[in-house]
Amino acid sequence: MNAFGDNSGDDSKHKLDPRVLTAGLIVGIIEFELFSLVDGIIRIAKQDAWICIILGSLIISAAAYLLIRLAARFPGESPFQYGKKIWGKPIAFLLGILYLLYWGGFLALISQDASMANRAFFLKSTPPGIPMLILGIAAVWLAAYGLTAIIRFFQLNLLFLILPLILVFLMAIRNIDLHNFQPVLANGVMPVIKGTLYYLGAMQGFEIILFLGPFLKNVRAAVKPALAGIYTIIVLSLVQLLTVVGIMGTENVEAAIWPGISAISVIQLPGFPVERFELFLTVPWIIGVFTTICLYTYFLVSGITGILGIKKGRGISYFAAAIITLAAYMFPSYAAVLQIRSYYNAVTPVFLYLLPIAALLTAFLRKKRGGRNG
Amino acid sequence: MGKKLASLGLLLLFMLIPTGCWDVKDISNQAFITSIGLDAVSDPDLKGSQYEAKYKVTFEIINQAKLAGPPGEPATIIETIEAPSIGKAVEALQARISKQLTLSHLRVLLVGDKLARGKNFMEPASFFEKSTEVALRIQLMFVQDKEARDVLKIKPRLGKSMSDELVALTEIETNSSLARENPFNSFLLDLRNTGGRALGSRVIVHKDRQILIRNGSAIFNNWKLAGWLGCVETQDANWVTQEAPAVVQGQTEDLFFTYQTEKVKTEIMPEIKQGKPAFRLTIKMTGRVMEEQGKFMDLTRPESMEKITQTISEVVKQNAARAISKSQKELGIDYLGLGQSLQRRYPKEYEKMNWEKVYPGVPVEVNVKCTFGRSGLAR
Repeated sequence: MNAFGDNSGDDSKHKLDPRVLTAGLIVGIIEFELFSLVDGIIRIAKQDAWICIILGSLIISAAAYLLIRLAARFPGESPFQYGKKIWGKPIAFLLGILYLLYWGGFLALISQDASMANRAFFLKSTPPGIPMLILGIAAVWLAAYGLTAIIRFFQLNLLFLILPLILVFLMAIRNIDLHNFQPVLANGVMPVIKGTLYYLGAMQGFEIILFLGPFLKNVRAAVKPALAGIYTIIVLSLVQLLTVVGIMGTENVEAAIWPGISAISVIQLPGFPVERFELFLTVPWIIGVFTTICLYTYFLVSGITGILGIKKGRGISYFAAAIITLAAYMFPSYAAVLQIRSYYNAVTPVFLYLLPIAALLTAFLRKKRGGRNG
Repeated sequence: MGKKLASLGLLLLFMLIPTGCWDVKDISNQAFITSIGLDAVSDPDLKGSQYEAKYKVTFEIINQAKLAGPPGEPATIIETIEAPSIGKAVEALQARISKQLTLSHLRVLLVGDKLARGKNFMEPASFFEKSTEVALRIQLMFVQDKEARDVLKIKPRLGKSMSDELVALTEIETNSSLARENPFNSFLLDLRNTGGRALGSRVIVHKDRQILIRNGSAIFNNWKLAGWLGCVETQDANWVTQEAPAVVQGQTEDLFFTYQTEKVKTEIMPEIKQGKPAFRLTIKMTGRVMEEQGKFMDLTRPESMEKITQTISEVVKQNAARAISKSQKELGIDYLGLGQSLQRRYPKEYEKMNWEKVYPGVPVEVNVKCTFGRSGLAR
């Protein structure tokens, strides 16, 4: 057992089946942004946003394969351990600090995002810190048990996350107008390429592939589960896009803050006993936010312990959670959160794809690999 | 010991939380606003001040105490408030209603004639788009020659509230071609896509009886109400715009008959010929003969049915052509959405042309195919 409660290394009794990666990726990546993600792509690529998702899926699939190759090259080692071998200690330390800033910033952003949505739709008068604090304490508590516990929790919640989204889509089909997707490529190819980059940047949580690697029985067998997870997310993104653009049209989507929720509020099913279908999104929303906070708390705290070589991670995790909750209050307005979130999406491909793939290439060129077979 | 203390602390915390919350929402303490009527202020006597009233806002609020009352008795409270904005009107209304107002069940937005003509529709619409309570499925209707308040004050005949009746009218799927169906969200989309042109739903108050009629449509141009279409004109326009089932009258040499269309499919095919736009409109439909007057035909005979479908095709072709002519020649406003079809198929060419100037002279060819006919249960 490591400093953060993880059973890694050669303790094969506790190792996970590679198939858990499917649930890990789906639940880890989906968060509140699923309901606003399409807004960003549509602003860039308009009605061609669906092409961005399809193009993005090809790049993400290739990246997933390369990340698994990287994890398989260093079996039983965490990214912080093999980072030192690949880059050398000073560069690995520097990159580690950059990753910590990235994860910490993202946690603050998602906390503020969730807090705003909570205030807008659910608890208008409740001080926003209270639900976020409860969510934060629970997330740290779960994260403190390590990645294996987080993944088990993800597996339990997978159906509760996906089924309401499918149900909402089935209710929405009748209201979808395919004319809203025309004309195709009216503004040329460049907006589609930019939209694809934006989509790539919305995959926060993708790095779970690297972190889960040391806990898997056979890392090389994780390619198919990883692709299954990624394609599920891509299908859900497409479904969300189809619903939002098909119902609202690109012009109305651009006017909305959370188009995913606005689109559901347009659906009409006369005779159906429920009227406010957007409430079906409550469970996926809470699960999505909570699991992402858990995962990123784990990344952050395992990063701090891994880089600084601290043995006891639990105290740090509570401290980090408190700092991030406070940091979430530093944003001057929600407009600033949205603005910073779009910057984050722009730099995310560097952390999720470019640096890990560069690490794989460097490891290959410098003939660096781990000591044990994965 | 430390763990036990922490667990006890958490337990105490969670015991405190469920006992109540800041956001308690008991259904019996809510006042549900189901309809809002927006009108222009007739006499803005505070002109120039920051409190200058710009809207006369009429609210229909469900009176829960009367919901179980005798049939035919409305269970609503109607309140009208003049205010500089809709938000201010809601605030002022709260001072008159002893329960927490909520817009979460708002179903109908009515806009009076004068306000719709005088104000860019996006201004009042912004309140409803921005609200976190309002669901965008609200039905939007424009009131011809009257105020929205006049409609909300009518006593509902079949339901407990006027919003019930208005929503029910929009949910009827047969014989709906006399009215234009365009709810709030799609109306806004039409306006945004076209730079301020759209065709909205119309309601009128019967001139002799205090009853509501939902038919016809409201023409918007430059974001404001520009005119009205009557029920027949709307039915003509619906051949082009919304594939609604209609009752069509036909006349052969010695037979007058009515025909109920059941499936209607309209396809608008834009073309660019020598740099100039043109349209081919194809309407495909099927249906049944409802009634005959004059010399009856045996409708089980193929030649009789052929005659019927040919006649119907010709009538529908004339109706659609009449709608296009009204839009192009009489009003010069593309409320039929032909420009949107062109924009979807030829976006670059559309961008280059001044559509408003080009539209009145654009040739539109109409083809109608009435492919199948039935006689109902009698020959």
